[in-house]
Amino acid sequence: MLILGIESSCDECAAAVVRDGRQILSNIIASQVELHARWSGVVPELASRLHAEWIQDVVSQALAAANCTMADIDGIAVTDRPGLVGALLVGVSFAKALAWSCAKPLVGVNHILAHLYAPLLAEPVEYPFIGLIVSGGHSLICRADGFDDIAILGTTIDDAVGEAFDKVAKHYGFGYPGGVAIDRLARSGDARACRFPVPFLYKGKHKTYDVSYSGLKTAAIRQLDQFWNPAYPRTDANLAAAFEKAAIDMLCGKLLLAAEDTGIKTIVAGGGVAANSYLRSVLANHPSLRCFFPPLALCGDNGAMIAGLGFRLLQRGDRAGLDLNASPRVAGFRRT
Amino acid sequence: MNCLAIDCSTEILGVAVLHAPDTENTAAQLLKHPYRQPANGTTPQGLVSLSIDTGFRHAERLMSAVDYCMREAGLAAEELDLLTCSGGPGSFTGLRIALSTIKGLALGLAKPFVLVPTLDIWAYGYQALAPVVVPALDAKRSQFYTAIYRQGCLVDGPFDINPAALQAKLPSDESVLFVGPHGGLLSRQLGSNSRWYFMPQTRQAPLHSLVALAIAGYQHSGAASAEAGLLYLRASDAEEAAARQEKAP
Repeated sequence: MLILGIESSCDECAAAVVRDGRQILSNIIASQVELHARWSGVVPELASRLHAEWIQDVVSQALAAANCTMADIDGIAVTDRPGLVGALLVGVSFAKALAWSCAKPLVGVNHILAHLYAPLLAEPVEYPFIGLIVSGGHSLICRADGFDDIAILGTTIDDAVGEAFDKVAKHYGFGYPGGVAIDRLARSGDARACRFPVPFLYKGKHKTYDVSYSGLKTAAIRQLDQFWNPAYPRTDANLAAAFEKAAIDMLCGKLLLAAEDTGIKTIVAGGGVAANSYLRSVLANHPSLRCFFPPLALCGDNGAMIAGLGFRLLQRGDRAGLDLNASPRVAGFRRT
Repeated sequence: MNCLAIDCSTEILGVAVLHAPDTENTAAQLLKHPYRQPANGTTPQGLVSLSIDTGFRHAERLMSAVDYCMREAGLAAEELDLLTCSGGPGSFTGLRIALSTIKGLALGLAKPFVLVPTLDIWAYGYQALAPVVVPALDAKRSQFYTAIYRQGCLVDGPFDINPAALQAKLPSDESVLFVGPHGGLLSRQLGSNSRWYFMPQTRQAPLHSLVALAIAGYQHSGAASAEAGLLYLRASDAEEAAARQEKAP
Protein backbone atom coordinates (compact mmCIF):
# COMPACT_ATOMS: atom_id res chain seq x y z
CA MET A 1 0.00 0.00 0.00
CA LEU A 2 1.64 3.25 -1.15
CA ILE A 3 0.77 6.36 0.85
CA LEU A 4 1.58 9.93 -0.13
CA GLY A 5 2.25 12.04 2.97
CA ILE A 6 2.03 15.84 2.89
CA GLU A 7 3.35 18.09 5.66
CA SER A 8 3.11 21.90 5.87
CA SER A 9 2.52 22.66 9.54
CA CYS A 10 5.43 25.04 10.06
CA ASP A 11 8.41 25.98 7.92
CA GLU A 12 9.11 22.73 6.08
CA CYS A 13 7.14 22.04 2.91
CA ALA A 14 7.43 18.29 2.66
CA ALA A 15 6.03 15.26 0.88
CA ALA A 16 6.96 11.60 0.84
CA VAL A 17 5.86 8.26 -0.51
CA VAL A 18 5.98 5.37 1.97
CA ARG A 19 5.12 1.72 1.37
CA ASP A 20 3.14 -0.13 4.05
CA GLY A 21 3.99 2.39 6.75
CA ARG A 22 7.66 1.37 6.80
CA GLN A 23 9.58 1.63 3.54
CA ILE A 24 10.40 5.19 2.54
CA LEU A 25 10.44 5.45 -1.26
CA SER A 26 10.92 9.22 -1.31
CA ASN A 27 11.15 12.00 1.24
CA ILE A 28 11.31 15.52 -0.17
CA ILE A 29 11.76 18.40 2.28
CA ALA A 30 11.86 22.00 1.07
CA SER A 31 13.10 23.94 4.06
CA GLN A 32 12.35 27.62 4.59
CA VAL A 33 15.02 27.95 7.29
CA GLU A 34 17.19 30.36 5.32
CA LEU A 35 14.22 32.61 4.60
CA HIS A 36 13.20 32.83 8.25
CA ALA A 37 16.75 33.23 9.56
CA ARG A 38 16.50 37.00 9.20
CA TRP A 39 13.86 37.01 11.93
CA SER A 40 15.50 34.25 14.01
CA GLY A 41 12.14 32.50 14.04
CA VAL A 42 9.33 31.39 11.80
CA VAL A 43 7.13 34.20 10.44
CA PRO A 44 3.75 32.49 9.96
CA GLU A 45 2.55 34.66 7.08
CA LEU A 46 5.78 34.19 5.13
CA ALA A 47 5.72 30.46 5.78
CA SER A 48 2.18 30.21 4.43
CA ARG A 49 3.07 32.19 1.32
CA LEU A 50 6.01 29.95 0.51
CA HIS A 51 4.04 26.75 1.11
CA ALA A 52 1.42 27.91 -1.42
CA GLU A 53 4.15 28.49 -3.99
CA TRP A 54 6.15 25.33 -3.35
CA ILE A 55 3.65 22.61 -2.59
CA GLN A 56 2.88 21.41 -6.10
CA ASP A 57 6.56 21.08 -6.98
CA VAL A 58 7.36 19.33 -3.70
CA VAL A 59 4.62 16.73 -4.15
CA SER A 60 5.55 16.24 -7.81
CA GLN A 61 9.17 15.65 -6.79
CA ALA A 62 8.12 13.16 -4.11
CA LEU A 63 6.15 11.16 -6.68
CA ALA A 64 8.96 11.31 -9.23
CA ALA A 65 11.62 10.32 -6.68
CA ALA A 66 9.49 7.32 -5.71
CA ASN A 67 9.21 6.50 -9.39
CA CYS A 68 5.44 6.48 -9.28
CA THR A 69 2.43 8.50 -10.39
CA MET A 70 -0.82 9.31 -8.61
CA ALA A 71 -2.29 6.20 -10.24
CA ASP A 72 0.06 4.09 -8.10
CA ILE A 73 -0.85 5.87 -4.84
CA ASP A 74 -3.37 4.08 -2.60
CA GLY A 75 -4.08 6.91 -0.18
CA ILE A 76 -3.12 10.42 0.87
CA ALA A 77 -2.25 11.54 4.39
CA VAL A 78 -1.91 15.18 5.34
CA THR A 79 -1.01 17.00 8.55
CA ASP A 80 -4.18 18.73 9.72
CA ARG A 81 -3.20 19.62 13.31
CA PRO A 82 -1.50 21.17 15.26
CA GLY A 83 0.61 23.92 13.73
CA LEU A 84 0.45 27.33 12.08
CA VAL A 85 -3.07 27.36 10.75
CA GLY A 86 -2.30 29.34 7.59
CA ALA A 87 0.50 26.93 6.74
CA LEU A 88 -1.59 23.85 7.57
CA LEU A 89 -4.41 25.08 5.32
CA VAL A 90 -2.14 24.98 2.29
CA GLY A 91 -1.37 21.30 2.75
CA VAL A 92 -4.92 20.38 3.72
CA SER A 93 -6.47 22.26 0.76
CA PHE A 94 -3.96 20.79 -1.67
CA ALA A 95 -4.40 17.26 -0.34
CA LYS A 96 -8.20 17.41 -0.44
CA ALA A 97 -8.18 18.60 -4.05
CA LEU A 98 -5.62 15.98 -5.06
CA ALA A 99 -7.54 13.20 -3.33
CA TRP A 100 -10.86 14.29 -4.88
CA SER A 101 -9.41 14.62 -8.38
CA CYS A 102 -7.84 11.15 -8.25
CA ALA A 103 -10.59 9.49 -6.20
CA LYS A 104 -8.10 8.43 -3.52
CA PRO A 105 -8.86 8.05 0.20
CA LEU A 106 -7.63 10.87 2.40
CA VAL A 107 -6.84 11.01 6.09
CA GLY A 108 -5.83 13.88 8.38
CA VAL A 109 -2.81 13.22 10.58
CA ASN A 110 -1.90 14.62 13.98
CA HIS A 111 1.58 16.08 13.64
CA ILE A 112 2.57 15.22 17.22
CA LEU A 113 1.64 11.57 16.84
CA ALA A 114 3.49 11.50 13.54
CA HIS A 115 6.72 12.67 15.22
CA LEU A 116 6.34 9.76 17.61
CA TYR A 117 5.88 7.44 14.65
CA ALA A 118 9.08 8.63 12.91
CA PRO A 119 11.45 6.25 14.79
CA LEU A 120 9.11 3.37 13.93
CA LEU A 121 9.83 3.95 10.25
CA ALA A 122 13.37 2.77 10.93
CA GLU A 123 12.65 -0.16 13.26
CA PRO A 124 9.62 -1.70 14.96
CA VAL A 125 9.02 -0.77 18.60
CA GLU A 126 6.49 -2.52 20.80
CA TYR A 127 3.87 -0.60 22.74
CA PRO A 128 3.62 0.66 25.38
CA PHE A 129 6.52 3.08 25.51
CA ILE A 130 7.28 6.48 26.97
CA GLY A 131 7.22 9.06 24.22
CA LEU A 132 9.26 12.23 24.21
CA ILE A 133 8.22 14.82 21.64
CA VAL A 134 10.54 17.81 21.67
CA SER A 135 10.68 20.60 19.12
CA GLY A 136 10.30 24.32 18.67
CA GLY A 137 6.59 24.02 19.31
CA HIS A 138 6.24 21.05 21.65
CA SER A 139 7.71 19.52 24.79
CA LEU A 140 5.68 16.45 25.67
CA ILE A 141 6.28 13.39 27.79
CA CYS A 142 3.61 10.78 27.22
CA ARG A 143 2.70 7.15 27.57
CA ALA A 144 1.98 5.61 24.17
CA ASP A 145 -0.25 2.53 24.05
CA GLY A 146 -0.83 2.60 20.31
CA PHE A 147 -0.04 4.62 17.22
CA ASP A 148 -2.86 7.06 18.01
CA ASP A 149 -3.39 6.35 21.69
CA ILE A 150 -1.23 8.48 23.93
CA ALA A 151 -1.74 9.88 27.40
CA ILE A 152 0.09 13.07 28.26
CA LEU A 153 2.20 12.69 31.40
CA GLY A 154 3.96 16.04 31.28
CA THR A 155 4.41 19.05 29.12
CA THR A 156 5.95 22.49 29.30
CA ILE A 157 4.07 25.06 31.31
CA ASP A 158 5.55 27.90 29.24
CA ASP A 159 8.10 27.77 26.40
CA ALA A 160 8.85 24.66 24.36
CA VAL A 161 12.42 23.43 24.72
CA GLY A 162 13.27 24.20 21.10
CA GLU A 163 11.78 27.66 21.51
CA ALA A 164 14.13 28.30 24.46
CA PHE A 165 17.10 27.19 22.35
CA ASP A 166 16.00 29.55 19.56
CA LYS A 167 15.50 32.53 21.85
CA VAL A 168 18.84 32.14 23.64
CA ALA A 169 20.62 31.65 20.32
CA LYS A 170 18.89 34.73 18.90
CA HIS A 171 19.88 36.86 21.89
CA TYR A 172 23.55 35.91 21.64
CA GLY A 173 23.64 35.82 17.85
CA PHE A 174 24.60 32.14 17.71
CA GLY A 175 22.63 31.54 14.53
CA TYR A 176 19.36 30.02 13.40
CA PRO A 177 17.93 27.48 14.01
CA GLY A 178 19.05 27.93 17.60
CA GLY A 179 19.02 24.25 18.53
CA VAL A 180 21.49 23.32 15.82
CA ALA A 181 23.71 26.34 16.56
CA ILE A 182 23.85 25.70 20.31
CA ASP A 183 24.45 21.97 19.86
CA ARG A 184 27.37 22.71 17.54
CA LEU A 185 28.89 25.33 19.84
CA ALA A 186 28.39 23.17 22.93
CA ARG A 187 30.66 20.45 21.59
CA SER A 188 33.71 22.62 22.28
CA GLY A 189 32.41 24.12 25.53
CA ASP A 190 32.46 23.13 29.18
CA ALA A 191 29.06 22.87 30.84
CA ARG A 192 30.60 23.48 34.29
CA ALA A 193 31.13 27.12 33.34
CA CYS A 194 27.63 28.04 34.44
CA ARG A 195 25.25 26.42 36.89
CA PHE A 196 21.78 27.43 35.83
CA PRO A 197 18.82 27.08 38.23
CA VAL A 198 16.57 24.06 37.77
CA PRO A 199 12.85 24.55 38.45
CA PHE A 200 11.06 22.00 40.61
CA LEU A 201 7.42 21.87 39.66
CA TYR A 202 4.77 20.46 41.91
CA LYS A 203 1.00 20.48 41.84
CA GLY A 204 0.15 20.72 45.50
CA LYS A 205 2.01 17.81 47.04
CA HIS A 206 2.06 15.83 43.81
CA LYS A 207 5.10 15.70 41.64
CA THR A 208 4.52 16.32 37.97
CA TYR A 209 6.36 15.46 34.80
CA ASP A 210 5.95 19.03 33.57
CA VAL A 211 8.90 21.18 32.58
CA SER A 212 9.45 24.92 32.41
CA TYR A 213 11.89 26.83 30.24
CA SER A 214 11.05 30.47 30.80
CA GLY A 215 13.18 30.68 33.97
CA LEU A 216 16.15 29.02 32.32
CA LYS A 217 15.80 31.26 29.30
CA THR A 218 15.68 34.39 31.47
CA ALA A 219 18.69 33.20 33.49
CA ALA A 220 20.67 32.60 30.31
CA ILE A 221 19.75 35.95 28.79
CA ARG A 222 19.50 38.36 31.73
CA GLN A 223 21.12 36.79 34.79
CA LEU A 224 24.30 35.29 33.45
CA ASP A 225 26.52 37.13 35.95
CA GLN A 226 24.62 35.56 38.80
CA PHE A 227 25.17 31.98 37.67
CA TRP A 228 28.52 32.10 35.87
CA ASN A 229 31.47 30.32 37.45
CA PRO A 230 34.33 32.87 37.33
CA ALA A 231 36.87 30.08 37.06
CA TYR A 232 35.79 29.58 33.43
CA PRO A 233 36.13 32.02 30.55
CA ARG A 234 32.86 33.49 29.34
CA THR A 235 32.84 32.06 25.84
CA ASP A 236 29.96 31.27 23.52
CA ALA A 237 30.93 27.61 23.62
CA ASN A 238 30.87 27.45 27.41
CA LEU A 239 27.53 29.26 27.57
CA ALA A 240 26.05 26.95 24.90
CA ALA A 241 27.30 23.84 26.71
CA ALA A 242 25.93 24.98 30.07
CA PHE A 243 22.58 26.02 28.65
CA GLU A 244 22.21 22.83 26.64
CA LYS A 245 23.03 20.67 29.65
CA ALA A 246 20.55 22.48 31.88
CA ALA A 247 17.77 22.33 29.28
CA ILE A 248 18.26 18.69 28.37
CA ASP A 249 18.91 17.49 31.93
CA MET A 250 15.58 19.00 33.00
CA LEU A 251 13.83 17.04 30.28
CA CYS A 252 15.70 13.81 30.96
CA GLY A 253 15.03 14.08 34.69
CA LYS A 254 11.28 14.15 34.11
CA LEU A 255 11.52 11.46 31.47
CA LEU A 256 13.41 9.10 33.76
CA LEU A 257 10.94 9.81 36.54
CA ALA A 258 8.07 8.90 34.20
CA ALA A 259 9.84 5.71 33.16
CA GLU A 260 10.45 4.77 36.77
CA ASP A 261 6.88 5.50 37.90
CA THR A 262 5.22 3.68 35.00
CA GLY A 263 7.69 0.81 34.92
CA ILE A 264 8.06 1.30 31.16
CA LYS A 265 11.68 1.07 30.09
CA THR A 266 11.30 1.83 26.41
CA ILE A 267 11.72 5.45 25.33
CA VAL A 268 10.86 6.75 21.87
CA ALA A 269 11.91 10.30 21.00
CA GLY A 270 10.79 12.50 18.15
CA GLY A 271 10.85 16.12 16.98
CA GLY A 272 13.62 18.49 15.99
CA VAL A 273 15.27 18.54 19.44
CA ALA A 274 15.56 14.73 19.25
CA ALA A 275 18.49 15.47 16.95
CA ASN A 276 20.37 17.08 19.85
CA SER A 277 23.58 15.16 20.38
CA TYR A 278 23.68 15.62 24.16
CA LEU A 279 20.09 14.33 24.55
CA ARG A 280 20.92 11.34 22.40
CA SER A 281 24.07 10.51 24.36
CA VAL A 282 22.38 10.82 27.76
CA LEU A 283 19.51 8.54 26.83
CA ALA A 284 21.47 6.11 24.69
CA ASN A 285 23.98 5.53 27.51
CA HIS A 286 21.38 5.00 30.20
CA PRO A 287 21.93 1.49 31.56
CA SER A 288 18.31 0.43 32.08
CA LEU A 289 16.46 2.09 29.22
CA ARG A 290 16.00 1.10 25.59
CA CYS A 291 15.89 4.33 23.61
CA PHE A 292 14.79 4.76 20.02
CA PHE A 293 15.53 7.88 18.03
CA PRO A 294 14.48 8.71 14.49
CA PRO A 295 17.26 8.97 11.92
CA LEU A 296 18.48 12.59 11.83
CA ALA A 297 16.68 13.19 8.52
CA LEU A 298 13.38 12.32 10.20
CA CYS A 299 13.80 14.39 13.36
CA GLY A 300 12.48 17.58 11.82
CA ASP A 301 9.16 17.90 10.06
CA ASN A 302 8.84 15.53 7.12
CA GLY A 303 6.26 13.86 4.93
CA ALA A 304 7.47 10.30 5.62
CA MET A 305 6.23 10.29 9.20
CA ILE A 306 2.87 11.62 7.98
CA ALA A 307 2.63 8.90 5.35
CA GLY A 308 3.74 6.28 7.89
CA LEU A 309 1.10 7.14 10.45
CA GLY A 310 -1.40 7.83 7.66
CA PHE A 311 -0.96 4.23 6.50
CA ARG A 312 -1.98 2.94 9.95
CA LEU A 313 -5.01 5.23 10.03
CA LEU A 314 -6.13 4.37 6.50
CA GLN A 315 -5.58 0.68 7.14
CA ARG A 316 -7.92 0.98 10.13
CA GLY A 317 -10.55 2.57 7.89
CA ASP A 318 -10.22 6.22 8.90
CA ARG A 319 -11.27 8.62 6.16
CA ALA A 320 -11.43 12.40 5.99
CA GLY A 321 -14.34 14.09 4.25
CA LEU A 322 -14.29 17.03 1.86
CA ASP A 323 -14.87 19.27 4.89
CA LEU A 324 -11.53 18.39 6.50
CA ASN A 325 -10.17 21.54 8.14
CA ALA A 326 -6.89 22.55 9.78
CA SER A 327 -6.56 23.18 13.49
CA PRO A 328 -3.76 25.06 15.25
CA ARG A 329 -4.24 22.98 18.40
CA VAL A 330 -4.93 19.41 19.37
CA ALA A 331 -7.89 18.44 21.45
CA GLY A 332 -8.58 15.08 22.92
CA PHE A 333 -5.27 13.83 24.30
CA ARG A 334 -5.82 12.12 27.61
CA ARG A 335 -3.91 13.61 30.49
CA THR A 336 -3.06 11.38 33.38
CA MET B 1 -13.50 24.49 -23.02
CA ASN B 2 -14.63 23.13 -19.65
CA CYS B 3 -13.36 25.35 -16.85
CA LEU B 4 -13.48 25.25 -13.05
CA ALA B 5 -13.12 28.63 -11.33
CA ILE B 6 -12.70 29.41 -7.63
CA ASP B 7 -12.81 32.72 -5.81
CA CYS B 8 -11.94 32.92 -2.11
CA SER B 9 -10.62 36.48 -2.13
CA THR B 10 -13.41 37.80 0.11
CA GLU B 11 -15.67 36.36 2.77
CA ILE B 12 -18.00 35.07 0.03
CA LEU B 13 -16.86 31.75 -1.38
CA GLY B 14 -17.50 31.40 -5.11
CA VAL B 15 -17.21 28.37 -7.38
CA ALA B 16 -18.18 28.16 -11.04
CA VAL B 17 -17.99 25.42 -13.63
CA LEU B 18 -18.30 26.20 -17.30
CA HIS B 19 -19.42 23.20 -19.31
CA ALA B 20 -18.76 24.06 -22.92
CA PRO B 21 -17.09 21.07 -24.49
CA ASP B 22 -17.60 21.78 -28.18
CA THR B 23 -15.47 24.69 -29.24
CA GLU B 24 -13.83 27.77 -27.87
CA ASN B 25 -16.54 29.82 -29.56
CA THR B 26 -19.17 27.91 -27.63
CA ALA B 27 -17.41 28.83 -24.42
CA ALA B 28 -17.43 32.50 -25.36
CA GLN B 29 -21.11 32.38 -26.26
CA LEU B 30 -22.03 30.58 -23.06
CA LEU B 31 -20.30 33.25 -21.03
CA LYS B 32 -22.46 35.86 -22.72
CA HIS B 33 -25.63 33.77 -22.29
CA PRO B 34 -24.93 31.44 -19.37
CA TYR B 35 -28.47 30.07 -19.14
CA ARG B 36 -28.68 28.55 -22.60
CA GLN B 37 -30.95 25.54 -22.78
CA PRO B 38 -29.34 22.29 -23.93
CA ALA B 39 -30.48 20.80 -27.20
CA ASN B 40 -32.70 17.78 -26.89
CA GLY B 41 -30.82 14.69 -25.88
CA THR B 42 -27.55 16.47 -25.16
CA THR B 43 -25.67 17.01 -21.94
CA PRO B 44 -26.70 20.22 -20.20
CA GLN B 45 -24.23 22.95 -21.04
CA GLY B 46 -23.66 26.31 -19.48
CA LEU B 47 -22.25 27.98 -16.39
CA VAL B 48 -23.01 26.51 -12.99
CA SER B 49 -22.03 28.83 -10.17
CA LEU B 50 -22.41 28.77 -6.43
CA SER B 51 -21.78 31.52 -3.88
CA ILE B 52 -21.69 30.78 -0.17
CA ASP B 53 -22.02 33.79 2.10
CA THR B 54 -21.46 32.34 5.55
CA GLY B 55 -18.20 34.02 6.48
CA PHE B 56 -14.67 32.69 6.33
CA ARG B 57 -15.27 28.95 6.31
CA HIS B 58 -13.77 28.44 2.87
CA ALA B 59 -11.44 25.59 3.81
CA GLU B 60 -14.34 23.47 5.06
CA ARG B 61 -16.72 24.27 2.24
CA LEU B 62 -14.70 24.72 -0.91
CA MET B 63 -14.30 21.12 -2.07
CA SER B 64 -17.93 20.29 -1.31
CA ALA B 65 -18.89 23.32 -3.43
CA VAL B 66 -16.60 22.16 -6.24
CA ASP B 67 -18.09 18.66 -6.06
CA TYR B 68 -21.62 20.08 -6.19
CA CYS B 69 -20.95 22.38 -9.14
CA MET B 70 -19.24 19.61 -11.09
CA ARG B 71 -22.18 17.27 -10.59
CA GLU B 72 -24.66 19.99 -11.53
CA ALA B 73 -22.63 20.71 -14.67
CA GLY B 74 -22.65 17.01 -15.54
CA LEU B 75 -18.88 16.89 -15.70
CA ALA B 76 -16.37 14.33 -14.47
CA ALA B 77 -13.15 15.77 -13.05
CA GLU B 78 -11.04 14.51 -15.94
CA GLU B 79 -13.29 16.36 -18.41
CA LEU B 80 -12.05 19.73 -17.15
CA ASP B 81 -9.74 21.54 -19.54
CA LEU B 82 -8.72 24.54 -17.43
CA LEU B 83 -8.58 25.47 -13.76
CA THR B 84 -8.49 28.98 -12.39
CA CYS B 85 -8.76 31.07 -9.26
CA SER B 86 -8.45 34.69 -8.27
CA GLY B 87 -4.79 35.55 -7.92
CA GLY B 88 -5.02 38.42 -5.46
CA PRO B 89 -5.23 40.81 -3.85
CA GLY B 90 -7.72 39.79 -1.20
CA SER B 91 -7.92 37.72 1.96
CA PHE B 92 -4.45 36.21 2.33
CA THR B 93 -5.71 32.92 3.73
CA GLY B 94 -8.65 32.71 1.34
CA LEU B 95 -6.42 33.28 -1.67
CA ARG B 96 -4.07 30.52 -0.51
CA ILE B 97 -6.89 28.05 0.07
CA ALA B 98 -8.05 28.63 -3.51
CA LEU B 99 -4.56 28.45 -5.02
CA SER B 100 -3.62 25.32 -3.06
CA THR B 101 -6.84 23.67 -4.15
CA ILE B 102 -6.28 24.60 -7.78
CA LYS B 103 -2.71 23.27 -7.62
CA GLY B 104 -3.89 20.00 -6.08
CA LEU B 105 -6.45 19.61 -8.86
CA ALA B 106 -3.89 20.55 -11.49
CA LEU B 107 -1.48 17.86 -10.30
CA GLY B 108 -4.15 15.21 -9.87
CA LEU B 109 -5.77 15.83 -13.25
CA ALA B 110 -2.63 16.88 -15.15
CA LYS B 111 -4.50 19.98 -16.31
CA PRO B 112 -3.31 23.59 -16.73
CA PHE B 113 -4.29 26.43 -14.44
CA VAL B 114 -4.16 30.21 -14.62
CA LEU B 115 -4.48 32.95 -12.01
CA VAL B 116 -6.62 36.00 -12.70
CA PRO B 117 -5.91 39.22 -10.77
CA THR B 118 -8.83 39.81 -8.39
CA LEU B 119 -9.30 43.45 -9.39
CA ASP B 120 -9.49 42.49 -13.08
CA ILE B 121 -12.37 40.17 -12.24
CA TRP B 122 -14.30 42.95 -10.51
CA ALA B 123 -13.60 45.55 -13.20
CA TYR B 124 -14.38 43.30 -16.18
CA GLY B 125 -17.74 43.94 -17.76
CA TYR B 126 -18.19 47.52 -16.58
CA GLN B 127 -16.17 49.31 -19.26
CA ALA B 128 -19.34 50.16 -21.21
CA LEU B 129 -20.84 51.97 -18.22
CA ALA B 130 -18.11 54.53 -17.53
CA PRO B 131 -14.77 55.55 -19.06
CA VAL B 132 -12.98 54.91 -15.75
CA VAL B 133 -13.73 51.91 -13.54
CA VAL B 134 -12.25 51.51 -10.05
CA PRO B 135 -12.82 48.19 -8.26
CA ALA B 136 -12.17 48.19 -4.52
CA LEU B 137 -11.66 45.64 -1.77
CA ASP B 138 -11.42 46.67 1.86
CA ALA B 139 -7.80 46.05 2.93
CA LYS B 140 -8.46 47.10 6.57
CA ARG B 141 -6.21 49.62 8.37
CA SER B 142 -8.13 52.36 6.45
CA GLN B 143 -6.66 51.11 3.17
CA PHE B 144 -8.16 49.63 0.01
CA TYR B 145 -6.90 47.23 -2.61
CA THR B 146 -7.78 48.99 -5.81
CA ALA B 147 -6.68 49.92 -9.33
CA ILE B 148 -7.75 52.24 -12.11
CA TYR B 149 -9.10 50.81 -15.38
CA ARG B 150 -9.77 52.89 -18.47
CA GLN B 151 -11.90 51.32 -21.20
CA GLY B 152 -11.23 47.88 -19.85
CA CYS B 153 -7.46 48.28 -19.53
CA LEU B 154 -5.49 48.60 -16.32
CA VAL B 155 -3.85 52.05 -16.40
CA ASP B 156 -2.71 52.54 -12.79
CA GLY B 157 -2.16 50.21 -9.86
CA PRO B 158 -2.93 47.85 -8.36
CA PHE B 159 -2.53 49.63 -5.04
CA ASP B 160 -2.82 49.06 -1.32
CA ILE B 161 -3.78 52.66 -0.73
CA ASN B 162 -5.74 55.03 1.50
CA PRO B 163 -8.69 56.97 0.02
CA ALA B 164 -6.95 60.35 0.09
CA ALA B 165 -3.95 59.06 -1.86
CA LEU B 166 -6.24 57.37 -4.37
CA GLN B 167 -8.27 60.55 -4.82
CA ALA B 168 -5.19 62.36 -6.07
CA LYS B 169 -4.88 59.78 -8.85
CA LEU B 170 -8.48 59.93 -10.08
CA PRO B 171 -9.66 62.18 -12.91
CA SER B 172 -12.04 64.87 -11.65
CA ASP B 173 -13.56 65.67 -15.03
CA GLU B 174 -14.62 62.19 -16.13
CA SER B 175 -17.18 59.71 -14.89
CA VAL B 176 -15.68 57.18 -12.51
CA LEU B 177 -17.54 54.03 -11.56
CA PHE B 178 -16.57 52.36 -8.27
CA VAL B 179 -17.28 48.63 -8.28
CA GLY B 180 -16.43 45.58 -6.24
CA PRO B 181 -17.46 44.48 -2.77
CA HIS B 182 -16.29 47.73 -1.21
CA GLY B 183 -16.65 50.19 -4.08
CA GLY B 184 -19.46 51.94 -2.21
CA LEU B 185 -17.42 52.13 0.98
CA LEU B 186 -14.47 53.61 -0.89
CA SER B 187 -16.57 56.16 -2.79
CA ARG B 188 -18.14 57.36 0.46
CA GLN B 189 -14.70 57.97 1.93
CA LEU B 190 -13.62 60.10 -1.02
CA GLY B 191 -14.52 63.75 -1.40
CA SER B 192 -17.76 64.45 -3.26
CA ASN B 193 -17.74 64.60 -7.04
CA SER B 194 -20.91 64.57 -9.06
CA ARG B 195 -19.30 62.40 -11.73
CA TRP B 196 -18.34 59.57 -9.38
CA TYR B 197 -20.76 56.67 -9.01
CA PHE B 198 -20.72 53.28 -7.38
CA MET B 199 -22.41 49.98 -8.17
CA PRO B 200 -24.48 48.84 -5.21
CA GLN B 201 -25.01 45.20 -4.22
CA THR B 202 -21.85 43.78 -5.73
CA ARG B 203 -20.54 41.68 -2.85
CA GLN B 204 -20.55 38.45 -4.85
CA ALA B 205 -17.62 38.14 -7.24
CA PRO B 206 -18.71 38.00 -10.91
CA LEU B 207 -17.64 34.41 -11.48
CA HIS B 208 -18.51 34.51 -15.19
CA SER B 209 -15.89 37.27 -15.49
CA LEU B 210 -13.32 35.07 -13.74
CA VAL B 211 -14.05 32.26 -16.21
CA ALA B 212 -13.97 34.57 -19.22
CA LEU B 213 -10.70 36.20 -18.21
CA ALA B 214 -9.14 32.82 -17.38
CA ILE B 215 -9.95 31.41 -20.81
CA ALA B 216 -8.75 34.55 -22.55
CA GLY B 217 -5.58 34.63 -20.45
CA TYR B 218 -4.84 30.97 -21.08
CA GLN B 219 -5.37 31.34 -24.82
CA HIS B 220 -3.14 34.42 -24.88
CA SER B 221 -0.34 33.51 -22.46
CA GLY B 222 -0.66 29.83 -21.65
CA ALA B 223 -0.76 28.15 -18.25
CA ALA B 224 0.74 29.35 -14.99
CA SER B 225 3.76 27.49 -13.65
CA ALA B 226 3.54 25.02 -10.76
CA GLU B 227 5.32 27.47 -8.45
CA ALA B 228 3.01 30.40 -9.31
CA GLY B 229 2.40 32.74 -6.38
CA LEU B 230 -0.22 35.28 -5.44
CA LEU B 231 -0.41 39.06 -5.64
CA TYR B 232 -0.65 40.15 -1.99
CA LEU B 233 0.13 43.88 -2.36
CA ARG B 234 1.02 43.91 1.33
CA ALA B 235 4.06 42.50 3.08
CA SER B 236 3.83 40.35 6.20
CA ASP B 237 3.76 42.17 9.55
CA ALA B 238 7.34 41.05 10.22
CA GLU B 239 8.56 42.52 6.93
CA GLU B 240 6.67 45.76 7.52
CA ALA B 241 8.15 46.08 11.02
CA ALA B 242 11.63 45.44 9.65
CA ALA B 243 11.11 48.06 6.93
CA ARG B 244 9.96 50.60 9.55
CA GLN B 245 13.03 49.87 11.66
CA GLU B 246 15.33 50.36 8.68
CA LYS B 247 13.69 53.71 7.93
CA ALA B 248 13.87 54.90 11.53
CA PRO B 249 16.79 57.29 12.22
